[in-house]
Amino acid sequence: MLGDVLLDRGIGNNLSHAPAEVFQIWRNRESIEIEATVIFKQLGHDLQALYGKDDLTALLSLKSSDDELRHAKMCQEILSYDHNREYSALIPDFKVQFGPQYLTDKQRVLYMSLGVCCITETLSTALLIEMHERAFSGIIRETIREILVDEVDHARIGWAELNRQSHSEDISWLKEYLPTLVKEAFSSDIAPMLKPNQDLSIWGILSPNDAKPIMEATLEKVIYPGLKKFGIL
Amino acid sequence: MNVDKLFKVIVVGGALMTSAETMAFGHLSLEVQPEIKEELSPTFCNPEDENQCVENEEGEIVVKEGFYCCWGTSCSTEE
Repeated sequence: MLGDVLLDRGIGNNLSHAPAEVFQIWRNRESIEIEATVIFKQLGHDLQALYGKDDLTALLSLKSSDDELRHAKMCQEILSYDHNREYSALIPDFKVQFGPQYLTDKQRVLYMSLGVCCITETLSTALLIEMHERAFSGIIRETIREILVDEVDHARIGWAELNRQSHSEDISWLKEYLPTLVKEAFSSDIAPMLKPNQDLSIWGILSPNDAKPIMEATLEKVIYPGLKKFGIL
Repeated sequence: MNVDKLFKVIVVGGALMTSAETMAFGHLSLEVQPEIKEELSPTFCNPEDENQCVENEEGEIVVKEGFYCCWGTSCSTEE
């Protein structure tokens, strides 16, 4: 693996060799992780309101909020290697409103679960697997590894909620929102993590050309079959 | 990327979270859906069970044939 070769040459894990674009992308990830902190906290509280404070998915969602904050701090550690700039830590101080206003509380939880977990976190998991493969050893790879392990649980929350609600009611109404949610996942959470026309994969960054087949395969072979299983497609 | 593995780990693994819950609390159903049970076999690994995970020559914990790595543990993510 190229990363291991670089490590042997003493270049690996030395982020002072990283191009400025690397830090910009990791700054984007920090921002996305901070936003996810807020979203998972809200989802956790909404799930508790519906199913009780000890609900498994609610508790996992609240834990996910803590995970995302920890990920943001790991990104900040990577950014600390950028000696050309100083980054102030981002603070999660905003509220999120998911879905159309006319949705019921239960429908909104499902809408959030689909958008955040089933689509965004599932796609993110698939991309992180590839990033982990390509990144060289050291802080970048360790960070990706830790995020990947947590992301699996974050994605599972959505599929757990789809399974639960699909037992008691028809959830096929979600289908009309699917294109919007997929597009939103790409533009808000995936695209800011990609860098075209430059191979930065050893720094844990994929190009759109690398990411496209992974996202297509994940949609076609993982997400869409999952949605079909629960009666959405 | 092994998309079949990804489906089992994330989609089936997630669904099992609320299937087990309904078994425990009886909210919606008393049984885990048979098709999910079927898809779970071979099952996810438990790195503390030497029948499911084993240490390789490099000292990494890897999953034994017939089990799927859960990725939530110390298992290798290698295909």
